[in-house]
Amino acid sequence: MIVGERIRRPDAPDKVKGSALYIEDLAFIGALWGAVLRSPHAHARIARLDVTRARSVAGVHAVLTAKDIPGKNLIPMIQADWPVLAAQFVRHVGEGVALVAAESREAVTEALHTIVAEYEPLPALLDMEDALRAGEVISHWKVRRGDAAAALKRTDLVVVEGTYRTPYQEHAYIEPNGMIAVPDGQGGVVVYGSMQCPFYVQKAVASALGCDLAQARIVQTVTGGGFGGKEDAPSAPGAQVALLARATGRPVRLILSREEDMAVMSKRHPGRVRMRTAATPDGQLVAVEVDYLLDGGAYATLSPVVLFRGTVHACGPYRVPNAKVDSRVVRTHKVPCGAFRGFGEPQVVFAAESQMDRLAERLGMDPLVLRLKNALGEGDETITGHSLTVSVGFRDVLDKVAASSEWARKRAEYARDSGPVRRGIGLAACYYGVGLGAMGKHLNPAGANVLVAADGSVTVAVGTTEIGQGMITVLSQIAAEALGCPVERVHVVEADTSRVPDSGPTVASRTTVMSGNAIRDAAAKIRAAMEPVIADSGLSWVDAVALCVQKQVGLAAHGWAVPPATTFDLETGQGEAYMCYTFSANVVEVEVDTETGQTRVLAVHSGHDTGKVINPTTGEGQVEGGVVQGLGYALVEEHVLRDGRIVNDQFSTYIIPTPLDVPEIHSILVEHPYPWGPYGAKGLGETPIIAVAPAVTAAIHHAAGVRLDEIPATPERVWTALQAKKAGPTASRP
Amino acid sequence: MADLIDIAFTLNRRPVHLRARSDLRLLDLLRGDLRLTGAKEGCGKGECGACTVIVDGQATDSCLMMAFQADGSVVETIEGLAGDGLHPLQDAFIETGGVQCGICIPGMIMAGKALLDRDPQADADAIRGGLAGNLCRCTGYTKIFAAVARAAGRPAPHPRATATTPAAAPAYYRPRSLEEALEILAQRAGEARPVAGGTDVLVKAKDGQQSLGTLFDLTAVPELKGIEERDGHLWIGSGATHAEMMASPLVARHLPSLPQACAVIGGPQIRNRGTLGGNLANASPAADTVPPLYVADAVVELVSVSARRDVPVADFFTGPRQSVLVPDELIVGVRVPFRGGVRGCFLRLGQRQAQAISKVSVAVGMTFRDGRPDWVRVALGAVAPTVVRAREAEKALLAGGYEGLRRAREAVKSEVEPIDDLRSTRAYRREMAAVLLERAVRSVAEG
Repeated sequence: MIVGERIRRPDAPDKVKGSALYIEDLAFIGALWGAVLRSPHAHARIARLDVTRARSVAGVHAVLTAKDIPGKNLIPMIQADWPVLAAQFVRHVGEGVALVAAESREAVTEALHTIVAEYEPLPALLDMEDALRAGEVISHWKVRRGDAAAALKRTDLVVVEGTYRTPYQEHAYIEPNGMIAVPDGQGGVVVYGSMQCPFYVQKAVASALGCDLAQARIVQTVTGGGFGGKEDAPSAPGAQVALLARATGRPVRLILSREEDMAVMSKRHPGRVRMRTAATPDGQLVAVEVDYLLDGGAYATLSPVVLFRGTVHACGPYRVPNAKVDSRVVRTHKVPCGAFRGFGEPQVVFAAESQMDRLAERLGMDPLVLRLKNALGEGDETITGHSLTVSVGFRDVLDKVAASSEWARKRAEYARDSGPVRRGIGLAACYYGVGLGAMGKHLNPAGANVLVAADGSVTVAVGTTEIGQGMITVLSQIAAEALGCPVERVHVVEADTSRVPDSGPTVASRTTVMSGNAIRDAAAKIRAAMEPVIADSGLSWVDAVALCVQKQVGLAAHGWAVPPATTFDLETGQGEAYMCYTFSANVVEVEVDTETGQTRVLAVHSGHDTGKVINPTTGEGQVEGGVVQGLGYALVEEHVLRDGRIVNDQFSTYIIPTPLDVPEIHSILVEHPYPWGPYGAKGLGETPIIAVAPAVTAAIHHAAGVRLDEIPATPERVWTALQAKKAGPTASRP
Repeated sequence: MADLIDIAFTLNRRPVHLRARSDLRLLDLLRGDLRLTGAKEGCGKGECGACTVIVDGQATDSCLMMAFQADGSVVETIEGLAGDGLHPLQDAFIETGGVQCGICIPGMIMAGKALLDRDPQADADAIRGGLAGNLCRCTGYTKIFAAVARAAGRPAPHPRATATTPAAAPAYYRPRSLEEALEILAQRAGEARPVAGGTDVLVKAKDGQQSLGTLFDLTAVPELKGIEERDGHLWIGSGATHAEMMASPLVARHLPSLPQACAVIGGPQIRNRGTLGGNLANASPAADTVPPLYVADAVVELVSVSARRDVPVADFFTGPRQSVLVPDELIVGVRVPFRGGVRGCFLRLGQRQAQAISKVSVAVGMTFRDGRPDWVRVALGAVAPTVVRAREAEKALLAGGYEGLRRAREAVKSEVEPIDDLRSTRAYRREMAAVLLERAVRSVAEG
């Protein structure tokens, strides 16, 4: 069986040789340089925008404003609010105001400087609590299960509460966003670019040009990292570069600099969570009440669905009979936040798991025992009333991370550390609904076209994308398994909207399950066509294909996958939110220098029930990469804004972990098969990042006795908390 | 339009001779004129390492090196690695699963190659250190470390490349002697911008803070190079790189805190290019090489076509990014008086373990007689407009003992005047000055 093997990545040889072509490596003869004039203000009325002189700069081929958009000035997303270019008002620093295409970089720069843009600044909403008070709510979701209010009033229960804050997080893919648009000679355009979701870009391009979707052909180029940052955000440069190509009749390239990318592309939403948790004295969870707030930025983009995911997962993977969740995402005058690995969960899980650690402390109970006692198992219901019948490996995951880390021994041993540098060990867990779920049904299906050539080689086209996560590898294995052909003969080609129907986005840990099932569907059709011809002949794959070709059997098929139907009531937040769930837990070991507040992470034991693992190497790669992003979120990463402008817009000021900052990482993959998934697979992309930060802060608490309710846990914050603790129990918490 | 210049160098074992724009970075020359797009531009500021190539055996950010500076050099890029088959490093990256999105991989492999060429049996710590100038956001580095470890000890398919004869001097400012350099500077002072490693100048140019202007490259001036004993002094040329200072036994003996400071600067690529002279000229209060110079009573040697002057390092800096250096002057080197039995320590706190600008740094130099300190110097970085000496703390330490240390800790807090900024807070810096001072003194005393 090729599924489950550690095959070498088919896309790796070109990448190690430097011959893989990313968007910036592509050259089109006659291509113009594109650029965007951006707003310097968080909120302003555009008083005057005069591009006449800029148009006459030598070498300039086009200068476009909102008035020059032939189609709609709208990037279609969940709410119709996001313009391709600001028309009358700018609503965040960096918002596009005008577009330029010219022969050279110098001409582009000169044209940008020659555009006359005058603004009348307006008051800006820069704080999410202010925005909430101002009623600027983009979405409000609820979960109502049992009677949490009544339970929280019971005097026989132990109640813990806290307010938790999480920062912006930057995707920090090493390849900035970039697009090249080429007129197709028939009134349409082909857009090549770095992206996760070609079908989103297609809708944006067709909307802006006012053309058919079929005239907006989108081809993904080798993509240098995404993590959600190339889900919704690339639709803007995609539409912008297409407008320039349409206006000039020439290929146009629009490649963002690192600073521009950090300033204007999407981020993880900053969050604030208030939570109250009630349990019996022996540690049975009874009720949880959650007030969850996200800062959405200037436009809704994906905020409603980011918030939805956080809402339904707000209480963690536990049995909670009474839950009341109210979540809101608000509109501010800052860069729009969007998709980022974990998608609304890391913020609320930081709160939920910090609450569990607090509760364990209050009850005098081991945090692992508390989790095991309340862990969801088969037959249990989530807070949305989703009855889990299969593939619930959470307890198994907890047992395995505890064993890997020698939890009980180290918990006791580290507690005895004295001196300025002390070790600590902490635990946190999460679950993650696979796929788009109840809020994204219309985008749920996925397609595949599988074509067998006369020599037995196989072309597989899917609508999802390789962004580094290993899609090509695992889909090659699934195709080989399903067709019964050697995996080396399978070639998964780049995503191209002209090859497959809209297959939704490459997000939500859905690719293996959705594209995998579409491939299996297509492969089954091909096998069905082959079987009558080859019967029980025992022919090799190549000979079987040759015989079928000789007998004029068509060896191509379209596959289509539609997930199992679910029901959900948005008023009560009750129903089947997602098709199935991946379960995860991390044990983190740290060393805290109590004189400097510095935390060094010694080890992470990261366990995931991801169903059948199609390729353990790519699986571990997802875990290791996600964990390190999670450590960055926990310890160092945050954006600093002044007047709505991101101040730290480069890699020397936005700090991500380097090779010297990473600990030992033990990846533990637990396989509780999901029957509908291909060969029992679920999804793995996101869980590795989600429950890292609360495990780190729990470990810091274990080491140094201070609890951080705000991340990143910088040395300054830890030190301040230690000073407050030293000052005595009456001193306020940081 | 910039001038066209002639550049000749050895590229992937073949001689290359071409005309190119004088304002190109090496990265632009490779990706543009030569269509070698393996080196990637992730940031353009030497922060991500995706553009790493090997220049004369050293890992180098090609975005921080001007194309003309490669003249006469041996340059290796990812495209030159595979021969008939894959290079062992390339194969190891595939086999271990070290490749995900791949954008950092050419730089990562070249950094790994520079490391293994120098240290074929590199251990786990050496591998992490060798890759510390390269960022990856996909893999968490774990499988990348495994890939380099797997390739360690396996012979490369090609012999090391050798240099070819450089072409005739091209038409731009790249003086070959100090005399020539000073002549040019006398005529073009204020107009020609001195540059050595480019790790500050090219970053500021990229930011648009300063135009690149006419670059005046000092890397080919022999009088600025070297680390040697001169008249009872340790002399370090302004062109000495951080990597050279780290590796010098002379520096280790006479100014032990300096190599410790150099070791925490940037990553290998930055340390291979950045120079002592550049660090001084840039005049950042957070410059890591400067506190060690303060504790050593170093003297900065300045020269112009008409005059020569020696300035004690503490008088060299006049404020953040400000010094006494005038436009027609060059920093030749730094002189450090020998002091028998000197011990030293440099400690700092940064936002992460590599590629971090210091939040606070401390250098200590001490000598002892009969187990008691008889000479003490303390200097701190990133806690005042310039690096500062902590003279009260020094006095307290001279008194010796635990009480002296306690008083020094208190004294140093009032001798610094830190600020709040992106990297840290005033209060934290002040307290950490004391913590680091104590740790540095203990480290020195415990020898």
